[in-house]
Amino acid sequence: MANTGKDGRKRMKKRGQMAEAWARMKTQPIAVVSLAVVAVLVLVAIFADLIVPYSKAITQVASDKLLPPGTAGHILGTDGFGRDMFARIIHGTRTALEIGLISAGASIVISTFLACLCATVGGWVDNLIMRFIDVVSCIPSLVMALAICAALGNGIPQLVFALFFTGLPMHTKMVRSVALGVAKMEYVESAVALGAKPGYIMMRHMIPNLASVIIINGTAQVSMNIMMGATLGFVGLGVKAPTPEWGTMLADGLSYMLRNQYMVLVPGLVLALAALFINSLGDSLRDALDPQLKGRA
Amino acid sequence: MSEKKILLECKNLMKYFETPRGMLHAVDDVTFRLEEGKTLGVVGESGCGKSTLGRTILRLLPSTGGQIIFDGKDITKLPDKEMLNLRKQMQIVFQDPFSSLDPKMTVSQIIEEPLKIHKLYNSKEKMSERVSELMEIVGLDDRYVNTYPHELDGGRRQRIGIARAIALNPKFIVCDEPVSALDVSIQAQILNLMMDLKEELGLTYIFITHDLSVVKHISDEILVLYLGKMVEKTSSDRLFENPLHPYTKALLSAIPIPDIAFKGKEAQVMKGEVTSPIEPPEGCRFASRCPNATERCFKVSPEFKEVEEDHFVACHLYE
Amino acid sequence: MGEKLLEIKDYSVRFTTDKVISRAVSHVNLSVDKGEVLGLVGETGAGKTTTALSVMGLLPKYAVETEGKIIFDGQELTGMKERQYRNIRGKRISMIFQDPMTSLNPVFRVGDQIADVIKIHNPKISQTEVNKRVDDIMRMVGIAKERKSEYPHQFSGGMKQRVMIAIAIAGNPDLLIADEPTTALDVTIQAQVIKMMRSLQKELGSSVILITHDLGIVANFCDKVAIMYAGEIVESGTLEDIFDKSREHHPYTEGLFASLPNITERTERLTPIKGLTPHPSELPAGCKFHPRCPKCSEICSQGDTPPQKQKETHMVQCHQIHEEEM
Repeated sequence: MANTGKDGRKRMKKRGQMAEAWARMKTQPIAVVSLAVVAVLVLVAIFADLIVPYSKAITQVASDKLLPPGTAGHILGTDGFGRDMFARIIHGTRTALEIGLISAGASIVISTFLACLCATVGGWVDNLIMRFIDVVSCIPSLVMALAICAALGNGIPQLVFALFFTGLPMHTKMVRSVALGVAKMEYVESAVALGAKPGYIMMRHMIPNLASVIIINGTAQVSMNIMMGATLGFVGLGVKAPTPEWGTMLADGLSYMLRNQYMVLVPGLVLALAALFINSLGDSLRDALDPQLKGRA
Repeated sequence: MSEKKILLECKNLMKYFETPRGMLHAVDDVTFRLEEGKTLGVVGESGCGKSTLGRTILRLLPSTGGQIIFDGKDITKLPDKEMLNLRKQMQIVFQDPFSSLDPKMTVSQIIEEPLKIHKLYNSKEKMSERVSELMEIVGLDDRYVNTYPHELDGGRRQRIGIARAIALNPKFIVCDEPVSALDVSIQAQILNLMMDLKEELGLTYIFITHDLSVVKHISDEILVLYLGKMVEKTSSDRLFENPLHPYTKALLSAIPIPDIAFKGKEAQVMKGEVTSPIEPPEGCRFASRCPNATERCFKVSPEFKEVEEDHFVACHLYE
Repeated sequence: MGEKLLEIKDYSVRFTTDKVISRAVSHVNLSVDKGEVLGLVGETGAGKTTTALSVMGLLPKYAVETEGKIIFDGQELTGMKERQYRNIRGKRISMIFQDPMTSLNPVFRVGDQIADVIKIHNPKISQTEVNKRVDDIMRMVGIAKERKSEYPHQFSGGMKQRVMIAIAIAGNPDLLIADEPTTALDVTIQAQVIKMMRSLQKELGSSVILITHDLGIVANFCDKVAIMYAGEIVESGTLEDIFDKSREHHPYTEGLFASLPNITERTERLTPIKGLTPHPSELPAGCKFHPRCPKCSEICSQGDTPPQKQKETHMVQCHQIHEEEM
């Protein structure tokens, strides 16, 4: 075969993984929109204090109860305690992302590790982990989260732990099923034949090839955990009382729903949109990070 | 120096798998010696244990019994740590150029992998120099350095697999059906490349294939396996001129010959199919398909022995 | 010369994906007579399967442009309505695919899968009649009729391919298209299946298009051969035309023969065709084979495809060959 590499024919361009991913992502309008929305959410969470001071979200002004949206000084109105809805939504974003990202992140990291362990070591290790997972997943996740929160008390760390733990079984199962296939691939065997150690194989071969399932499940888990956190807040568990949180806002609004619909609509809508765009960002990320889809966009 | 150095020796090598229906005898009592610089072709149909044999020799699978002696050293029970070092000297080229390359890695990352694992180079420039050198050796155009495997065709992918295998300057390579997934014209290119590499780098091959016509060119000796057992072993030329075992004969006659002089000449078609290697019966494993089988064949397993000079057969016909 | 059953006239297929046009098949002319076996030979990406799917009317419906005509038994298949096509597919033309492992439905008994095809094409047939036909067909493909109540996973690869063939012939088709039917099988099993198909073809008298890359199988089984390269038929003729080494051949055909490892004589090195098959979206100008051709001269890289040189049944599409030498 002609080897024309030396005679000046250009090598195919080298671009970083990230540049490559971004180039693919750019071409998809939905991807760009989701990324923008999620970026806004993250920025709002980080700079919440600059947008509106935290005090405004928790100060109860008895004279300003139930002001409708559009009132001067209260764009989204006030709630039944006279707290500014806008400030509560903004600071609620921080709470929601904190809960969602940390809990989902933790369950992804741990479950990916467990799943890789199951797939590569197999045997009794696999059996032990899977039976444990089976036992845990017998309990409905809401019930378990409720139980953990009730046992550990209210507060963000407790809530994060509860959500982390309830997310673990499903993740481990999903990642494991894909990991079993990857572990059988010949490139993994080839790495063994080259003398690679298990840690190397996990980092270099297993995780990159599990990326799509991890990303899809991970982002779904983030939005699910935000929802679940809101659900727990809704039933009065989880976040401590004055902390602004979308679920508790919904619960608070419930009693005024017939006359002051905005109190349910605003947090409900924000919650739904956040979940939607986080999920669709996950989809787009998976596509963008897959080199096999390169150039197909 | 008339005495040739033996690079690899297998003594009564066995590999069984536990299955719900009983023990699967994938490799049963395989014994051979391979001289340095020679090629042993291992031939058989699917399920005859040829791939398992290759992987067991490389200790990618633990053996059930017997010994593997590589370069004068018994590696059967070598601790994993020492084995890692030895892996530099023994490599494998896989059949499927699609699943053997990590789809998330570029060509250069794949070829670099062995160099990185063994930390052979400390500078990036030296490493990429070596990658370019390897790509040139296997005839891969330099411009593919940053492409992903799925962007390339089967022949080029197989070249990447070969470059990765020779990166550490191994002495010995197990080639597990390296050309059977490729088109005929590409097959010939890859076979020629492998023969050139053997000369240039002084490699020793075990060449596993189901296709006798492929193995003829590249092998010095050929070992025919049937259901994990050795049935015949001799030099490549002799096997094609004078096959002794009925199974070898059937394999040879089953190859369709691209010449119309043979048209209409009814090839000797062997009856039956490969039976299961799970808890195989006593006696010769080929007996149920053998046209020459006698009652004895079903009862007593034939011994693998030399019937002519350097021609070994396991068959009651030659006792 | 027998009666023409299938005629493909100047047929082309173009796929468009992401604004990239792939010419999968271009200006193919083929004909199959009744009771004749045509071997369609070529490597991956040569357009063999696309041609076969065109005859079956199974090309994807989007992003595909076709030109030319396919005429089957006097009817024009190109442009036929899907509803009419269903009366032809399976009943008059049927196809066997390469991979028997995925082509069978794992949850139905094999006997029922064969019976289904019979019932679809003969809705008024009685159950006892169906059972008789199933037994008959299973005998023809060499499966013991006792095995009809077994499930596909209980069959080995070779046996599954026999089941596939049984399903394909259950509608009693006039034309059978076999797409690499034995590629996934072991040699000894391949020999069994080829032998069975040959006697089956004689018994049923149907026409067969055998798609393969294996010239050995062609020599054993076919009456006529067409060699495809990069979507074109570069050489065609009777078995004798193609396999007679004393005649002039297309350089690609010669290359194919030379790259085969020969088991009857010992050669030190194989002589492969240099280079690679071009992707159908990046076909070169002139003769599609010229970048890989050892006989290539200036004329080959220019203009359109080379003229087709014809001598009786033998056709070669090459600048370097002259009719008087053929």
